[in-house]
Amino acid sequence: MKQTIERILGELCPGVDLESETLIDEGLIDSFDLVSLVGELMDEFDVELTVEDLLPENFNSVDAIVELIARKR
Amino acid sequence: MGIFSTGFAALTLLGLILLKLFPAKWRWLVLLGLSWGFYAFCGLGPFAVLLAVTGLGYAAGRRLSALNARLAALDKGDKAQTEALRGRKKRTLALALVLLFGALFAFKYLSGLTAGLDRLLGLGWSLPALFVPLGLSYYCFQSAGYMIDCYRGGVTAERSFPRYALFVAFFPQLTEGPIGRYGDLAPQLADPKPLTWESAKTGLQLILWGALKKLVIADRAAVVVSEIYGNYTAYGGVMIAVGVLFYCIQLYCDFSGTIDVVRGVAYLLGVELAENFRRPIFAVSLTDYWRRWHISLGAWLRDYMFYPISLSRWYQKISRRLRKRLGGRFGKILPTSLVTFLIYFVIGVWHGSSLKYLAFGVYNGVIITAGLLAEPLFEKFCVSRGIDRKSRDMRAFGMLRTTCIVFVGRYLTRAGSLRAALAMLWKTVRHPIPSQFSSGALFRLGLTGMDLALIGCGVLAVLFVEARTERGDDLDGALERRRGLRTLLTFLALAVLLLFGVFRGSYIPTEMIYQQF
Repeated sequence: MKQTIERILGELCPGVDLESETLIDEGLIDSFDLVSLVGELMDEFDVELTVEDLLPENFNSVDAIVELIARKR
Repeated sequence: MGIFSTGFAALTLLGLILLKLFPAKWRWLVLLGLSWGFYAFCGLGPFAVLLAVTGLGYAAGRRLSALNARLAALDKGDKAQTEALRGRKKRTLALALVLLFGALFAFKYLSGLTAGLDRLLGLGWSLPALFVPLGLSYYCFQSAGYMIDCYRGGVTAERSFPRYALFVAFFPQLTEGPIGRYGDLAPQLADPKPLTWESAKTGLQLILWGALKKLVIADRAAVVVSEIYGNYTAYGGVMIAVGVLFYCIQLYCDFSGTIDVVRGVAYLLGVELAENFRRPIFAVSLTDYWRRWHISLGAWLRDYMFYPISLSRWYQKISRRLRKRLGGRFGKILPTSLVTFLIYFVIGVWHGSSLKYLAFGVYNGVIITAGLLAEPLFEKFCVSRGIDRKSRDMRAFGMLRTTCIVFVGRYLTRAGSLRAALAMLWKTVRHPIPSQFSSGALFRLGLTGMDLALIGCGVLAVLFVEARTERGDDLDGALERRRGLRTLLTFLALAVLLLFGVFRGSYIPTEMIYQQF
């Protein structure tokens, strides 16, 4: 799952530091990228993500995204 | 009563005295009394509207939180009851938002809309103009944010009506924002910090800096702006462009100056308001510009419109279809780009109902959406030419490009009508008549050479401070270490403010521009 998320993230935000722990806090992913990312994640992992899930702590790192998807499955 | 009035200064002073006199547990009530007093002084009609909006937000919040509590207490297997409660929550929020934005529409847009339709279709009637309550759109948006937060369960509704009323009506931010969030603001308003030497210093510094920008720079620039926008037919394109440049200066110094004063006054009263500007002059793209300009409105639209629409089930279905049908990166970004367009269109409409604001929304929306869609092509182009997009030159190019785009947009927002804005643009391109400028027309627009020099020096000072802050320099810390310089600068700023801002010449002080929105 982690590799897939890294691939999606890399495609959406070329050059983004996949090791970063502050993807949202430092603005490496903006609101536009975030919505595109959520759309891709929902398609790829067949989960439903809502506005309530759009918290920085859920998207600040690849590991956090993995945890979010695991919770939602 | 405007923010730059003796009445407002007296109210702030009264607030500081009362906050000192009252025990900590009653301080919030002092702030509510001052806020309601301030608004009632502005008119009983607007005050009634404020109370109605407050009542609506309070009732909706309580209802939504009660439904959330019932949902939480429900047995997880009871799907029918869960769905029923979720449906009631949705209907409650929808009704409250329709009433809230219905009121905003009725006061702000309805009369203008019927007048426009009358002109267009010759209906022979239009609704008379209603009074527009001061700060209506600011406190409506703030209330709507609160209700949506209650719906989402992010905040628990306030049980006390007066405490909630203070959140809606806190007087420094009532007229021009920033649009606050309940989670940030309510705890501070419930227990305002006592005034200390440090907070007094920060607050007064913000007030001084904001007042300098508004009273010394913006109000002077307004003289040139009024003359050129009001009589654009008499001027060639170069002079019109000069007028637009002065408008850009006026608008930034007016709005950011007012917000500085608002934040400074709130600071003195023990409340820290969110920043509304982050040096927009250094924006490298139009999207970046809107992230730095009127931040609280942009964040509101992002959290309460952009995200909910983009992630709604119905829009996700459309997005999936588009992704499958179009494929590739274009298919992935088109759905989000369309919502982005909608958001910038709303930003335009938020300013008013006339055609020029609709055009302003479309102008921003089209440029940003086109930029997002063309991004892969631009990236490819840069890679093929070996251009480093993070280089200093590319940043400078981005800033220049953004400045030009924003500059053109400002023809629309200040001109008397869309037709006038287009005529001004046409003259700028096709009939520049530079001789008008070189013959000294700038000195015949109502300002003296001294006034123009003050604007110039003021703009340089603003640019200097913004450039250093953008670079990450801690100007405040630097001045703290050189106290002599700090004292000198403070006295100098105060002298300039008193001599050229308060005891000004013959020209008329202008109202705060964003107050009308």
